[in-house]
Amino acid sequence: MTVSRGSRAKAVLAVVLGVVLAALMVYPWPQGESEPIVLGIIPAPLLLWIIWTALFIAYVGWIAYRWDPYAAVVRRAATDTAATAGEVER
Amino acid sequence: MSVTTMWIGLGVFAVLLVYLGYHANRRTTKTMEDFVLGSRKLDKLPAFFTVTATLFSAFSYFGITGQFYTNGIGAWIQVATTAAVGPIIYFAGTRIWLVARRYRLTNVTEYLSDRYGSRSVGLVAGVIVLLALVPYMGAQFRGSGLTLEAVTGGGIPYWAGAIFLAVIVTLYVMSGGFRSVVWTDVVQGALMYVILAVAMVILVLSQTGGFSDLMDTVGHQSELLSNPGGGGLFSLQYLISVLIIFAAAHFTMPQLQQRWMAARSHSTLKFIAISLPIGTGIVYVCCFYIAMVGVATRPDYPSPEAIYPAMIVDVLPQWLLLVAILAIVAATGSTANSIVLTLGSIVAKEHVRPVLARRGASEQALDRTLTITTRTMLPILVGGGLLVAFFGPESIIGIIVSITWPAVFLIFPALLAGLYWRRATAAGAVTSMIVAEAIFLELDRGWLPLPLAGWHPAMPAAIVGVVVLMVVSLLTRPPQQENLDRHFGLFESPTTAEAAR
Repeated sequence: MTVSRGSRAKAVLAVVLGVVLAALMVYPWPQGESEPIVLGIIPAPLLLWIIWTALFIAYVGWIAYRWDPYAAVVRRAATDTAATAGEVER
Repeated sequence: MSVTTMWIGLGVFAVLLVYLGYHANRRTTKTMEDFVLGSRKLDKLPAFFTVTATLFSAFSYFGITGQFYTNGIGAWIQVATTAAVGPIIYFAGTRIWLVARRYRLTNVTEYLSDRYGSRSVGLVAGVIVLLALVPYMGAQFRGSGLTLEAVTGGGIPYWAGAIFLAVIVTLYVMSGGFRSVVWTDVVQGALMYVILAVAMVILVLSQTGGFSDLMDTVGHQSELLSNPGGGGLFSLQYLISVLIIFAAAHFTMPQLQQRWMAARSHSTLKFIAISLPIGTGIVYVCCFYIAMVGVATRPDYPSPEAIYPAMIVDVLPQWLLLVAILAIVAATGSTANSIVLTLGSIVAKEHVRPVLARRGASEQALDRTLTITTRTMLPILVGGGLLVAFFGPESIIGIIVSITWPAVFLIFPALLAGLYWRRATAAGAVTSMIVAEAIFLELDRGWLPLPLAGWHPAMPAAIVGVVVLMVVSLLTRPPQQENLDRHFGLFESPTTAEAAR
């Protein structure tokens, strides 16, 4: 892969974001203490973990659809393969 | 539920699945690539259903509800693992997808042999995978047997329920290969989502008067709504261990690897990375509330993993109960089918192909024979799974947490090094896998009495595995440049590739 300066900055950002998000996931809750029930139907830790999951999905979405560092590689492979026999669709 | 009604339901269900298998068979050609990967034409929506249906099995209904019931809300960590695998699917998955497509590789062990230029890497990985996944397949048959026995009050004995699933899975996978697996997964996956959601709503409303009442009742048992949860299971060390082990193992699992390899396009692969945690989250939210109904209405239930079927038998109307039971059996089948197809292809490629190749068979004849071998292997592997179901461990989640995922996780360093590190050698990969698995086994069984301070035994084993991989790779002769260029050249622009040499 060709690594430009902009791409390297995005890679650093992706790693930092990933580590921060992972740390937020495993951050231990106050042990054994009573947790509030949000709106009377959902325990606070569950709600926060659902929000965490949504944030992580957004993070993966940013990597895959906005940054997409493999786009050029896939395009090149498609061209190469089409030139030989098969097909690699984007 | 009466035994006759249950058998009629099972019969209709079996006919539907076998029909799908037959229908898939008519579209399947005799090539290995088509039988095992559906000619790499997996689209987004079927990909979503087949990946989630493959991942969620008897485990969804029994293991997850049982863990929420016993240990509390920390079980959500499993959703986090399916989110955390997203970046791995994007980065490493794209690489393996490109390589597999270019060189027509059909499973992860074949990739390892090809990348490292040595059969021994694929062989060792293949043996580990076999030993890890046959018990997991056995857990599916066990789930089916337990469910049918429970809902019919022993009218359908455990052995009959387990064998029923084994026979049906064998029939439709043998007939249609990957296509039949995907089509049945779509049906089984959709059934799983709908029935879990419906059962959750009915159980909450009929047993507790609503979500607020349920939380009022359960809220007093604060240990289940916070960490480390019941039994103190979800310590920080446990959560980190599970997050790393499961995310890496989800990616490495050979039956899921075949789905990355089968993706029609890069776009399909990206869609899988995004949609997997959404599907998992839906399943877990449903299982959480179902388990909490159990906590509120059936405290101290002696068999937590059976709390879901025990509750629906009492609550659901007969017709819906029948559908719900079929959904459980479907979930167990949707995991078993993928495993058996993958293992069949691994045995054919790693163990039979070299023998045939030595005899000088032509490529076409080789491919045809391997497809037949894969088909023939299916009932044998299913038989192994049945042995586990009858004589193996009793806890389904125990099999998953203690055997399958950790064992597969320890292949991950060799896989990742193969994808990203040119200097990684076959000797390094083989030694790493063997040493790591041996250490894990010794720690897990308590033969090596080291204090783990709450960490999963696979964690130190993996660290040792990574060190061994690096040291042995650096001490042994570098891999052949030509082979490295075949693999890494795909990811590098011509100028970068030149510099890397």
